[in-house]
Amino acid sequence: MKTHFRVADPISIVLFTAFGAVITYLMAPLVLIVLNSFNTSTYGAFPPPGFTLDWYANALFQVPDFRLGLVNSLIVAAASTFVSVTLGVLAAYALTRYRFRQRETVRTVLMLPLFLPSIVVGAALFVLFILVSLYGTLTSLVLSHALLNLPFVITVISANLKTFSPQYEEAAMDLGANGIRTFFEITLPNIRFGIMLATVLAFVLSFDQVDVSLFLARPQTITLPIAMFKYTENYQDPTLAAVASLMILFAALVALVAIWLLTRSRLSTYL
Amino acid sequence: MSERNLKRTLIGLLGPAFALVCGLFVPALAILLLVSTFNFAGGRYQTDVTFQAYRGFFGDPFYYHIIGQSFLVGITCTAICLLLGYPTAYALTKIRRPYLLLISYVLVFSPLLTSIVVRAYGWLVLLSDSGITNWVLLRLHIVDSPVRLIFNFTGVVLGLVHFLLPFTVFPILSVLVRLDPALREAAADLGANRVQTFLHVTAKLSFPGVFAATQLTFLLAINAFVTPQLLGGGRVVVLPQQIYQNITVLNVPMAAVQSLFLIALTCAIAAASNFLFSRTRLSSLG
Repeated sequence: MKTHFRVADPISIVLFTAFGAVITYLMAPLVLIVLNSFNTSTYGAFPPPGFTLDWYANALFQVPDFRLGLVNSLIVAAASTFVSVTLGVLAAYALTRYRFRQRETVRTVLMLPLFLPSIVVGAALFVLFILVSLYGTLTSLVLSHALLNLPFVITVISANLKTFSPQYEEAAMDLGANGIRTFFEITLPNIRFGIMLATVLAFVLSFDQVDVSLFLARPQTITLPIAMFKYTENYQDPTLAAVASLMILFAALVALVAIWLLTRSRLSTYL
Repeated sequence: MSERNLKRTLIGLLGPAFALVCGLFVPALAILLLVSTFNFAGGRYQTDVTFQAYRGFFGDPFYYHIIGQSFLVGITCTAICLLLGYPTAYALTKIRRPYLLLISYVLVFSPLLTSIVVRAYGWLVLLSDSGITNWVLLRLHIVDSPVRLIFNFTGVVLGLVHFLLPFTVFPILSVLVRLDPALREAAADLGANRVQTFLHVTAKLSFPGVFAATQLTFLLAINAFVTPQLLGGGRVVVLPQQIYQNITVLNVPMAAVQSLFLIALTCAIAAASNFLFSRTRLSSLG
Protein backbone atom coordinates (compact mmCIF):
# COMPACT_ATOMS: atom_id res chain seq x y z
CA MET A 1 0.00 0.00 0.00
CA LYS A 2 1.14 3.48 -0.81
CA THR A 3 0.78 5.51 2.32
CA HIS A 4 3.82 7.75 1.90
CA PHE A 5 4.02 10.69 -0.45
CA ARG A 6 6.79 10.02 -2.95
CA VAL A 7 8.48 12.79 -4.90
CA ALA A 8 9.12 10.66 -8.00
CA ASP A 9 5.48 9.54 -8.25
CA PRO A 10 4.44 10.54 -11.84
CA ILE A 11 0.74 11.02 -11.04
CA SER A 12 1.56 13.40 -8.19
CA ILE A 13 4.01 15.32 -10.41
CA VAL A 14 1.31 15.87 -13.06
CA LEU A 15 -1.27 16.79 -10.41
CA PHE A 16 0.93 19.30 -8.63
CA THR A 17 2.22 20.81 -11.88
CA ALA A 18 -1.40 21.46 -12.85
CA PHE A 19 -2.04 22.85 -9.36
CA GLY A 20 0.94 25.19 -9.67
CA ALA A 21 -0.30 26.37 -13.07
CA VAL A 22 -3.75 27.13 -11.63
CA ILE A 23 -2.24 29.07 -8.69
CA THR A 24 -0.09 31.05 -11.15
CA TYR A 25 -3.16 31.82 -13.25
CA LEU A 26 -5.12 32.96 -10.17
CA MET A 27 -2.31 35.14 -8.81
CA ALA A 28 -0.96 36.56 -12.11
CA PRO A 29 -3.40 39.49 -12.56
CA LEU A 30 -2.98 40.57 -8.92
CA VAL A 31 0.82 40.48 -9.10
CA LEU A 32 0.82 42.29 -12.45
CA ILE A 33 -1.41 45.06 -11.06
CA VAL A 34 1.04 45.75 -8.24
CA LEU A 35 4.01 45.73 -10.67
CA ASN A 36 2.13 47.98 -13.06
CA SER A 37 1.35 50.55 -10.36
CA PHE A 38 5.08 51.47 -10.38
CA ASN A 39 5.36 51.42 -14.18
CA THR A 40 6.37 54.69 -15.89
CA SER A 41 4.66 53.57 -19.12
CA THR A 42 1.13 54.94 -19.50
CA TYR A 43 0.07 51.85 -21.43
CA GLY A 44 1.39 49.39 -18.87
CA ALA A 45 4.16 48.22 -21.21
CA PHE A 46 6.15 45.15 -20.20
CA PRO A 47 9.00 45.08 -19.25
CA PRO A 48 8.47 48.39 -17.39
CA PRO A 49 10.77 51.14 -18.73
CA GLY A 50 11.12 52.77 -15.30
CA PHE A 51 9.95 53.07 -11.70
CA THR A 52 7.60 55.80 -10.42
CA LEU A 53 5.23 56.60 -7.57
CA ASP A 54 3.35 59.17 -9.66
CA TRP A 55 0.31 56.94 -10.15
CA TYR A 56 -0.20 56.74 -6.40
CA ALA A 57 -0.02 60.54 -6.14
CA ASN A 58 -2.43 60.75 -9.06
CA ALA A 59 -4.87 58.29 -7.48
CA LEU A 60 -4.80 59.96 -4.08
CA PHE A 61 -4.80 63.63 -5.08
CA GLN A 62 -5.75 64.12 -8.75
CA VAL A 63 -8.89 62.04 -9.29
CA PRO A 64 -11.58 63.43 -6.94
CA ASP A 65 -13.95 60.53 -7.67
CA PHE A 66 -11.59 58.08 -5.99
CA ARG A 67 -11.48 60.07 -2.76
CA LEU A 68 -15.23 60.76 -2.74
CA GLY A 69 -15.82 57.11 -3.68
CA LEU A 70 -13.65 55.87 -0.84
CA VAL A 71 -15.50 58.02 1.73
CA ASN A 72 -18.91 56.94 0.39
CA SER A 73 -17.87 53.28 0.24
CA LEU A 74 -16.68 53.35 3.85
CA ILE A 75 -19.92 54.98 5.04
CA VAL A 76 -22.11 52.57 3.06
CA ALA A 77 -20.08 49.50 4.06
CA ALA A 78 -20.10 50.43 7.77
CA ALA A 79 -23.82 51.29 7.89
CA SER A 80 -25.00 48.33 5.80
CA THR A 81 -22.79 45.93 7.80
CA PHE A 82 -24.31 47.21 11.04
CA VAL A 83 -27.87 46.74 9.67
CA SER A 84 -27.32 43.31 8.10
CA VAL A 85 -25.39 41.87 11.07
CA THR A 86 -27.95 43.09 13.62
CA LEU A 87 -30.93 41.81 11.64
CA GLY A 88 -29.05 38.66 10.59
CA VAL A 89 -28.07 37.63 14.14
CA LEU A 90 -31.68 37.96 15.36
CA ALA A 91 -33.07 36.08 12.35
CA ALA A 92 -30.45 33.31 12.53
CA TYR A 93 -31.21 32.84 16.23
CA ALA A 94 -34.92 32.38 15.50
CA LEU A 95 -34.22 30.02 12.59
CA THR A 96 -31.84 27.72 14.52
CA ARG A 97 -33.29 27.81 18.06
CA TYR A 98 -37.07 27.66 17.49
CA ARG A 99 -39.28 25.17 15.71
CA PHE A 100 -42.29 26.62 13.94
CA ARG A 101 -44.43 25.67 10.99
CA GLN A 102 -43.37 28.32 8.45
CA ARG A 103 -39.66 28.08 9.28
CA GLU A 104 -38.46 26.81 5.89
CA THR A 105 -40.63 29.34 4.05
CA VAL A 106 -39.21 32.20 6.13
CA ARG A 107 -35.67 30.93 5.55
CA THR A 108 -36.25 30.76 1.79
CA VAL A 109 -37.63 34.31 1.69
CA LEU A 110 -34.65 35.66 3.64
CA MET A 111 -32.17 33.82 1.37
CA LEU A 112 -33.94 35.03 -1.80
CA PRO A 113 -31.60 37.99 -2.55
CA LEU A 114 -28.77 35.46 -2.93
CA PHE A 115 -30.46 33.40 -5.63
CA LEU A 116 -31.50 36.09 -8.06
CA PRO A 117 -29.06 37.60 -10.58
CA SER A 118 -27.56 40.67 -8.90
CA ILE A 119 -27.85 42.74 -12.07
CA VAL A 120 -31.62 42.10 -11.96
CA VAL A 121 -31.75 43.08 -8.28
CA GLY A 122 -29.94 46.30 -9.26
CA ALA A 123 -32.39 47.12 -12.07
CA ALA A 124 -35.41 46.37 -9.85
CA LEU A 125 -34.14 48.48 -6.93
CA PHE A 126 -33.33 51.33 -9.34
CA VAL A 127 -36.97 51.50 -10.45
CA LEU A 128 -38.25 51.21 -6.87
CA PHE A 129 -35.97 53.93 -5.44
CA ILE A 130 -36.98 56.38 -8.18
CA LEU A 131 -40.64 55.80 -7.29
CA VAL A 132 -40.13 56.39 -3.56
CA SER A 133 -37.74 59.36 -4.18
CA LEU A 134 -34.73 57.70 -2.55
CA TYR A 135 -32.78 57.43 -5.82
CA GLY A 136 -29.33 59.02 -5.53
CA THR A 137 -29.17 58.87 -1.71
CA LEU A 138 -26.64 56.96 0.39
CA THR A 139 -29.65 55.49 2.23
CA SER A 140 -30.67 53.61 -0.91
CA LEU A 141 -27.17 52.11 -1.16
CA VAL A 142 -27.09 51.19 2.55
CA LEU A 143 -30.49 49.45 2.38
CA SER A 144 -29.59 47.59 -0.84
CA HIS A 145 -26.24 46.35 0.48
CA ALA A 146 -27.85 45.28 3.78
CA LEU A 147 -30.44 43.31 1.77
CA LEU A 148 -27.75 41.60 -0.34
CA ASN A 149 -25.57 40.73 2.69
CA LEU A 150 -28.36 39.36 4.87
CA PRO A 151 -28.19 35.78 3.45
CA PHE A 152 -24.43 35.59 4.08
CA VAL A 153 -24.77 36.82 7.67
CA ILE A 154 -27.60 34.38 8.39
CA THR A 155 -25.55 31.47 6.96
CA VAL A 156 -22.44 32.27 9.05
CA ILE A 157 -24.34 32.94 12.30
CA SER A 158 -26.58 29.86 11.90
CA ALA A 159 -23.44 27.72 11.42
CA ASN A 160 -21.90 29.20 14.57
CA LEU A 161 -25.09 28.72 16.61
CA LYS A 162 -24.96 25.01 15.71
CA THR A 163 -21.45 24.72 17.19
CA PHE A 164 -22.67 25.12 20.76
CA SER A 165 -25.50 23.33 22.48
CA PRO A 166 -28.76 25.12 23.38
CA GLN A 167 -28.45 23.39 26.77
CA TYR A 168 -26.31 26.28 28.02
CA GLU A 169 -29.13 28.67 27.22
CA GLU A 170 -31.67 26.33 28.83
CA ALA A 171 -29.49 26.12 31.95
CA ALA A 172 -29.39 29.93 32.21
CA MET A 173 -33.17 30.07 31.88
CA ASP A 174 -33.59 27.35 34.52
CA LEU A 175 -31.44 29.44 36.85
CA GLY A 176 -33.88 32.31 36.45
CA ALA A 177 -32.44 34.48 33.66
CA ASN A 178 -35.04 35.78 31.23
CA GLY A 179 -34.78 35.32 27.43
CA ILE A 180 -33.15 38.67 26.79
CA ARG A 181 -30.53 38.30 29.53
CA THR A 182 -29.74 34.75 28.35
CA PHE A 183 -29.29 36.02 24.79
CA PHE A 184 -26.86 38.77 25.83
CA GLU A 185 -24.92 36.84 28.49
CA ILE A 186 -24.81 33.30 27.05
CA THR A 187 -25.63 33.34 23.33
CA LEU A 188 -23.76 36.44 22.12
CA PRO A 189 -20.42 35.68 23.87
CA ASN A 190 -20.50 32.17 22.41
CA ILE A 191 -20.99 33.33 18.83
CA ARG A 192 -18.66 36.36 19.02
CA PHE A 193 -16.19 34.98 16.44
CA GLY A 194 -19.04 34.15 14.07
CA ILE A 195 -20.35 37.70 14.48
CA MET A 196 -16.88 39.11 13.77
CA LEU A 197 -16.52 36.87 10.72
CA ALA A 198 -19.96 37.90 9.44
CA THR A 199 -19.00 41.55 10.01
CA VAL A 200 -15.78 41.20 8.00
CA LEU A 201 -17.62 39.34 5.24
CA ALA A 202 -20.49 41.85 5.04
CA PHE A 203 -18.06 44.79 5.05
CA VAL A 204 -15.95 43.33 2.23
CA LEU A 205 -18.99 42.34 0.16
CA SER A 206 -20.43 45.84 0.49
CA PHE A 207 -17.08 47.53 -0.12
CA ASP A 208 -16.62 45.54 -3.38
CA GLN A 209 -20.27 45.66 -4.55
CA VAL A 210 -20.61 46.63 -8.24
CA ASP A 211 -23.64 45.08 -9.95
CA VAL A 212 -26.26 46.77 -7.78
CA SER A 213 -24.38 49.98 -6.87
CA LEU A 214 -23.90 50.69 -10.57
CA PHE A 215 -27.65 51.36 -10.91
CA LEU A 216 -27.99 53.34 -7.69
CA ALA A 217 -24.87 55.53 -7.45
CA ARG A 218 -25.05 59.09 -8.79
CA PRO A 219 -22.11 61.54 -9.06
CA GLN A 220 -22.46 62.61 -5.40
CA THR A 221 -23.03 59.10 -4.06
CA ILE A 222 -20.44 57.30 -6.23
CA THR A 223 -18.69 54.37 -4.49
CA LEU A 224 -15.05 53.37 -4.99
CA PRO A 225 -15.71 50.27 -7.18
CA ILE A 226 -18.06 52.32 -9.38
CA ALA A 227 -15.49 55.10 -9.71
CA MET A 228 -12.94 52.44 -10.70
CA PHE A 229 -15.37 50.80 -13.12
CA LYS A 230 -16.08 54.13 -14.86
CA TYR A 231 -12.36 54.98 -14.92
CA THR A 232 -11.53 51.62 -16.56
CA GLU A 233 -14.19 52.19 -19.21
CA ASN A 234 -12.56 55.50 -20.17
CA TYR A 235 -8.84 55.31 -19.37
CA GLN A 236 -6.19 52.61 -19.22
CA ASP A 237 -3.33 54.34 -17.36
CA PRO A 238 -1.82 52.82 -14.16
CA THR A 239 -3.67 55.28 -11.85
CA LEU A 240 -6.14 52.46 -11.51
CA ALA A 241 -3.31 50.03 -10.77
CA ALA A 242 -2.35 52.24 -7.81
CA VAL A 243 -5.91 52.22 -6.43
CA ALA A 244 -6.21 48.48 -7.14
CA SER A 245 -2.88 47.78 -5.37
CA LEU A 246 -4.13 49.55 -2.26
CA MET A 247 -7.33 47.46 -2.43
CA ILE A 248 -5.28 44.25 -2.81
CA LEU A 249 -3.28 45.26 0.28
CA PHE A 250 -6.57 45.81 2.12
CA ALA A 251 -7.85 42.39 0.93
CA ALA A 252 -4.66 40.71 2.16
CA LEU A 253 -5.19 42.19 5.64
CA VAL A 254 -8.82 41.06 5.58
CA ALA A 255 -7.71 37.54 4.58
CA LEU A 256 -5.44 37.36 7.65
CA VAL A 257 -8.26 38.47 9.96
CA ALA A 258 -10.71 36.03 8.33
CA ILE A 259 -8.32 33.06 8.72
CA TRP A 260 -7.80 33.90 12.39
CA LEU A 261 -11.57 34.15 12.94
CA LEU A 262 -12.30 30.91 11.06
CA THR A 263 -9.83 28.96 13.20
CA ARG A 264 -10.98 30.58 16.44
CA SER A 265 -14.71 30.05 15.77
CA ARG A 266 -14.15 26.42 14.59
CA LEU A 267 -17.19 26.88 12.37
CA SER A 268 -15.55 26.06 9.03
CA THR A 269 -16.92 22.52 9.35
CA TYR A 270 -20.50 23.75 9.70
CA LEU A 271 -20.66 26.19 6.78
CA MET B 1 -43.13 28.47 25.97
CA SER B 2 -46.76 29.27 25.30
CA GLU B 3 -48.03 29.58 21.74
CA ARG B 4 -48.62 33.33 22.14
CA ASN B 5 -45.23 33.99 23.69
CA LEU B 6 -43.48 32.03 20.92
CA LYS B 7 -45.29 34.07 18.31
CA ARG B 8 -44.27 37.33 19.96
CA THR B 9 -40.62 36.22 20.28
CA LEU B 10 -40.48 35.11 16.64
CA ILE B 11 -41.97 38.38 15.40
CA GLY B 12 -39.40 40.28 17.46
CA LEU B 13 -36.49 38.23 16.12
CA LEU B 14 -37.51 37.73 12.50
CA GLY B 15 -39.60 40.85 11.95
CA PRO B 16 -36.77 43.30 11.14
CA ALA B 17 -35.03 41.00 8.63
CA PHE B 18 -38.36 40.03 7.10
CA ALA B 19 -39.34 43.71 6.81
CA LEU B 20 -36.11 44.52 4.94
CA VAL B 21 -36.62 41.73 2.40
CA CYS B 22 -40.39 42.16 2.03
CA GLY B 23 -40.32 45.93 2.16
CA LEU B 24 -37.57 46.35 -0.42
CA PHE B 25 -36.99 43.25 -2.47
CA VAL B 26 -40.53 42.01 -3.01
CA PRO B 27 -41.99 45.42 -4.08
CA ALA B 28 -38.97 46.02 -6.32
CA LEU B 29 -39.64 42.77 -8.16
CA ALA B 30 -43.39 43.47 -8.29
CA ILE B 31 -42.73 46.89 -9.85
CA LEU B 32 -40.38 45.29 -12.36
CA LEU B 33 -43.14 42.88 -13.35
CA LEU B 34 -45.59 45.76 -13.74
CA VAL B 35 -43.23 48.03 -15.72
CA SER B 36 -42.42 45.17 -18.11
CA THR B 37 -45.96 45.51 -19.54
CA PHE B 38 -45.67 49.28 -20.12
CA ASN B 39 -45.06 51.18 -23.32
CA PHE B 40 -41.74 52.88 -24.09
CA ALA B 41 -41.88 56.00 -26.27
CA GLY B 42 -40.09 59.32 -26.53
CA GLY B 43 -37.20 58.38 -24.26
CA ARG B 44 -39.33 57.38 -21.26
CA TYR B 45 -41.90 54.80 -20.31
CA GLN B 46 -45.66 55.50 -20.31
CA THR B 47 -48.03 53.83 -17.88
CA ASP B 48 -50.22 52.19 -20.52
CA VAL B 49 -50.17 48.43 -20.74
CA THR B 50 -49.17 47.37 -24.26
CA PHE B 51 -46.73 44.45 -23.76
CA GLN B 52 -44.63 46.22 -26.40
CA ALA B 53 -41.32 45.18 -24.79
CA TYR B 54 -42.31 41.50 -24.74
CA ARG B 55 -43.04 41.57 -28.47
CA GLY B 56 -39.84 43.52 -29.05
CA PHE B 57 -37.72 41.04 -27.10
CA PHE B 58 -39.18 37.76 -28.31
CA GLY B 59 -39.72 38.95 -31.88
CA ASP B 60 -36.19 40.20 -32.59
CA PRO B 61 -33.49 37.76 -33.82
CA PHE B 62 -30.86 40.16 -32.39
CA TYR B 63 -31.83 39.06 -28.88
CA TYR B 64 -31.63 35.38 -29.83
CA HIS B 65 -28.05 36.08 -30.84
CA ILE B 66 -27.38 37.63 -27.41
CA ILE B 67 -29.00 34.72 -25.56
CA GLY B 68 -26.92 32.35 -27.70
CA GLN B 69 -23.78 34.28 -26.83
CA SER B 70 -24.66 34.13 -23.11
CA PHE B 71 -24.94 30.34 -23.38
CA LEU B 72 -21.71 30.06 -25.37
CA VAL B 73 -19.82 32.08 -22.74
CA GLY B 74 -21.47 30.08 -19.93
CA ILE B 75 -20.75 26.65 -21.43
CA THR B 76 -17.14 27.49 -22.40
CA CYS B 77 -16.32 28.93 -18.97
CA THR B 78 -18.00 26.08 -17.08
CA ALA B 79 -16.12 23.44 -19.11
CA ILE B 80 -12.74 25.14 -18.51
CA CYS B 81 -13.55 25.71 -14.82
CA LEU B 82 -14.35 22.01 -14.30
CA LEU B 83 -11.20 20.97 -16.15
CA LEU B 84 -9.06 23.23 -13.94
CA GLY B 85 -11.16 23.07 -10.79
CA TYR B 86 -11.30 19.31 -10.25
CA PRO B 87 -7.51 18.77 -10.22
CA THR B 88 -7.17 21.88 -8.02
CA ALA B 89 -9.65 20.55 -5.46
CA TYR B 90 -8.07 17.10 -5.66
CA ALA B 91 -4.56 18.51 -5.14
CA LEU B 92 -5.81 20.43 -2.08
CA THR B 93 -6.88 17.13 -0.48
CA LYS B 94 -3.41 15.64 -1.11
CA ILE B 95 -1.36 18.30 0.67
CA ARG B 96 -0.16 16.91 4.00
CA ARG B 97 1.86 19.74 5.59
CA PRO B 98 -0.50 22.08 7.52
CA TYR B 99 1.25 25.34 6.63
CA LEU B 100 1.45 24.43 2.91
CA LEU B 101 -2.24 23.56 3.02
CA LEU B 102 -3.12 26.90 4.62
CA ILE B 103 -1.07 28.85 2.05
CA SER B 104 -2.69 26.86 -0.79
CA TYR B 105 -6.19 27.56 0.53
CA VAL B 106 -5.39 31.27 0.79
CA LEU B 107 -3.96 31.37 -2.75
CA VAL B 108 -6.96 29.55 -4.25
CA PHE B 109 -9.68 31.51 -2.45
CA SER B 110 -8.11 34.94 -1.88
CA PRO B 111 -9.12 36.29 -5.33
CA LEU B 112 -12.66 36.33 -3.87
CA LEU B 113 -11.62 39.11 -1.51
CA THR B 114 -10.52 41.48 -4.26
CA SER B 115 -13.04 43.52 -6.20
CA ILE B 116 -14.22 42.12 -9.51
CA VAL B 117 -13.24 45.45 -11.12
CA VAL B 118 -9.68 45.02 -9.82
CA ARG B 119 -9.45 41.53 -11.30
CA ALA B 120 -10.90 42.56 -14.68
CA TYR B 121 -8.40 45.44 -14.77
CA GLY B 122 -5.61 42.95 -13.97
CA TRP B 123 -6.52 41.01 -17.10
CA LEU B 124 -6.53 44.20 -19.15
CA VAL B 125 -2.93 44.82 -18.02
CA LEU B 126 -1.87 41.21 -18.46
CA LEU B 127 -3.36 40.70 -21.93
CA SER B 128 -2.90 44.12 -23.55
CA ASP B 129 -0.91 44.44 -26.80
CA SER B 130 2.15 45.71 -24.90
CA GLY B 131 1.49 43.52 -21.83
CA ILE B 132 3.44 40.62 -20.40
CA THR B 133 1.55 37.82 -22.22
CA ASN B 134 2.32 39.29 -25.63
CA TRP B 135 5.89 40.03 -24.55
CA VAL B 136 6.40 36.36 -23.62
CA LEU B 137 4.75 35.14 -26.83
CA LEU B 138 6.97 37.45 -28.92
CA ARG B 139 10.13 36.52 -27.00
CA LEU B 140 9.47 32.81 -27.49
CA HIS B 141 8.81 33.50 -31.21
CA ILE B 142 5.40 31.89 -30.94
CA VAL B 143 3.96 34.96 -32.68
CA ASP B 144 5.53 37.64 -34.90
CA SER B 145 3.30 40.55 -33.87
CA PRO B 146 1.17 41.14 -30.75
CA VAL B 147 -2.05 39.12 -30.69
CA ARG B 148 -5.39 40.60 -29.68
CA LEU B 149 -6.25 38.88 -26.41
CA ILE B 150 -8.70 41.36 -24.93
CA PHE B 151 -11.90 42.99 -26.20
CA ASN B 152 -12.93 39.66 -27.71
CA PHE B 153 -14.27 36.23 -26.69
CA THR B 154 -10.84 35.01 -25.46
CA GLY B 155 -10.48 37.95 -23.07
CA VAL B 156 -13.98 37.48 -21.64
CA VAL B 157 -13.43 33.75 -21.08
CA LEU B 158 -9.97 34.22 -19.47
CA GLY B 159 -11.33 36.89 -17.12
CA LEU B 160 -14.54 35.03 -16.28
CA VAL B 161 -12.82 31.71 -15.57
CA HIS B 162 -10.58 33.60 -13.15
CA PHE B 163 -13.65 34.98 -11.38
CA LEU B 164 -15.54 31.65 -11.39
CA LEU B 165 -12.81 29.14 -10.50
CA PRO B 166 -13.00 29.48 -6.67
CA PHE B 167 -16.76 28.84 -6.93
CA THR B 168 -16.04 25.66 -8.94
CA VAL B 169 -13.35 24.40 -6.57
CA PHE B 170 -15.33 24.90 -3.36
CA PRO B 171 -18.27 22.46 -3.91
CA ILE B 172 -15.93 19.76 -5.31
CA LEU B 173 -13.50 20.23 -2.43
CA SER B 174 -16.22 20.01 0.23
CA VAL B 175 -17.29 16.60 -1.14
CA LEU B 176 -13.73 15.30 -1.59
CA VAL B 177 -12.68 16.10 2.00
CA ARG B 178 -15.68 14.18 3.33
CA LEU B 179 -14.89 10.99 1.36
CA ASP B 180 -14.04 8.10 3.66
CA PRO B 181 -10.37 7.12 2.99
CA ALA B 182 -11.28 3.54 3.97
CA LEU B 183 -13.17 3.19 0.67
CA ARG B 184 -10.02 3.94 -1.34
CA GLU B 185 -7.97 1.59 0.81
CA ALA B 186 -10.57 -1.13 0.29
CA ALA B 187 -10.33 -0.67 -3.50
CA ALA B 188 -6.53 -0.91 -3.27
CA ASP B 189 -6.76 -4.03 -1.12
CA LEU B 190 -9.03 -5.61 -3.71
CA GLY B 191 -6.29 -5.11 -6.30
CA ALA B 192 -7.29 -1.85 -8.00
CA ASN B 193 -4.42 0.40 -9.05
CA ARG B 194 -4.54 4.15 -8.33
CA VAL B 195 -6.12 5.06 -11.67
CA GLN B 196 -8.81 2.41 -11.27
CA THR B 197 -9.45 3.49 -7.68
CA PHE B 198 -9.81 7.09 -8.79
CA LEU B 199 -12.18 6.28 -11.67
CA HIS B 200 -14.37 3.77 -9.85
CA VAL B 201 -14.40 5.19 -6.32
CA THR B 202 -13.29 8.83 -6.01
CA ALA B 203 -14.68 10.17 -9.30
CA LYS B 204 -18.04 8.43 -8.84
CA LEU B 205 -18.48 9.47 -5.22
CA SER B 206 -17.51 13.07 -5.90
CA PHE B 207 -20.20 13.41 -8.57
CA PRO B 208 -22.58 15.40 -6.29
CA GLY B 209 -19.79 17.97 -5.79
CA VAL B 210 -19.10 18.17 -9.52
CA PHE B 211 -22.81 18.60 -10.15
CA ALA B 212 -23.13 21.43 -7.61
CA ALA B 213 -20.00 23.08 -9.02
CA THR B 214 -21.30 22.87 -12.61
CA GLN B 215 -24.65 24.37 -11.68
CA LEU B 216 -23.19 27.21 -9.61
CA THR B 217 -20.46 28.03 -12.16
CA PHE B 218 -22.83 28.10 -15.12
CA LEU B 219 -25.45 30.24 -13.34
CA LEU B 220 -22.81 32.72 -12.15
CA ALA B 221 -21.33 32.80 -15.67
CA ILE B 222 -24.57 33.69 -17.48
CA ASN B 223 -25.36 36.33 -14.84
CA ALA B 224 -21.91 38.00 -14.91
CA PHE B 225 -21.80 41.64 -15.95
CA VAL B 226 -18.56 43.43 -15.06
CA THR B 227 -16.11 41.04 -16.74
CA PRO B 228 -17.85 40.86 -20.15
CA GLN B 229 -18.44 44.62 -20.02
CA LEU B 230 -14.78 45.52 -19.35
CA LEU B 231 -13.05 42.72 -21.30
CA GLY B 232 -15.55 42.23 -24.13
CA GLY B 233 -14.97 45.62 -25.72
CA GLY B 234 -18.52 45.62 -27.09
CA ARG B 235 -17.79 42.59 -29.28
CA VAL B 236 -19.09 40.08 -26.75
CA VAL B 237 -22.51 41.18 -25.51
CA VAL B 238 -24.40 39.05 -23.01
CA LEU B 239 -27.85 39.46 -21.48
CA PRO B 240 -26.82 41.29 -18.23
CA GLN B 241 -25.09 43.97 -20.35
CA GLN B 242 -28.31 44.45 -22.31
CA ILE B 243 -30.21 45.04 -19.05
CA TYR B 244 -27.67 47.67 -17.96
CA GLN B 245 -27.66 49.25 -21.42
CA ASN B 246 -31.46 49.57 -21.46
CA ILE B 247 -31.56 51.06 -17.96
CA THR B 248 -29.02 53.73 -18.95
CA VAL B 249 -31.23 54.79 -21.89
CA LEU B 250 -34.25 54.57 -19.53
CA ASN B 251 -35.93 51.86 -21.61
CA VAL B 252 -37.12 50.33 -18.35
CA PRO B 253 -39.83 48.08 -19.90
CA MET B 254 -37.25 46.31 -22.07
CA ALA B 255 -34.78 46.03 -19.17
CA ALA B 256 -37.63 44.59 -17.07
CA VAL B 257 -38.55 41.98 -19.70
CA GLN B 258 -34.90 40.95 -20.03
CA SER B 259 -34.56 40.81 -16.22
CA LEU B 260 -37.60 38.57 -15.94
CA PHE B 261 -36.25 36.40 -18.74
CA LEU B 262 -32.90 36.08 -16.90
CA ILE B 263 -34.70 35.12 -13.66
CA ALA B 264 -36.82 32.55 -15.53
CA LEU B 265 -33.72 31.17 -17.27
CA THR B 266 -31.83 30.89 -13.94
CA CYS B 267 -34.75 29.13 -12.25
CA ALA B 268 -35.38 26.83 -15.25
CA ILE B 269 -31.74 25.74 -15.44
CA ALA B 270 -31.56 25.18 -11.67
CA ALA B 271 -34.82 23.18 -11.67
CA ALA B 272 -34.01 21.14 -14.79
CA SER B 273 -30.52 20.23 -13.59
CA ASN B 274 -31.82 19.31 -10.13
CA PHE B 275 -34.40 17.05 -11.78
CA LEU B 276 -31.78 15.36 -13.97
CA PHE B 277 -29.49 14.99 -10.96
CA SER B 278 -32.13 13.24 -8.84
CA ARG B 279 -32.94 10.92 -11.78
CA THR B 280 -29.29 9.90 -12.27
CA ARG B 281 -28.75 9.45 -8.53
CA LEU B 282 -31.77 7.17 -8.25
CA SER B 283 -30.84 5.11 -11.31
CA SER B 284 -27.25 4.69 -10.12
CA LEU B 285 -28.48 3.49 -6.74
CA GLY B 286 -31.12 1.16 -8.20
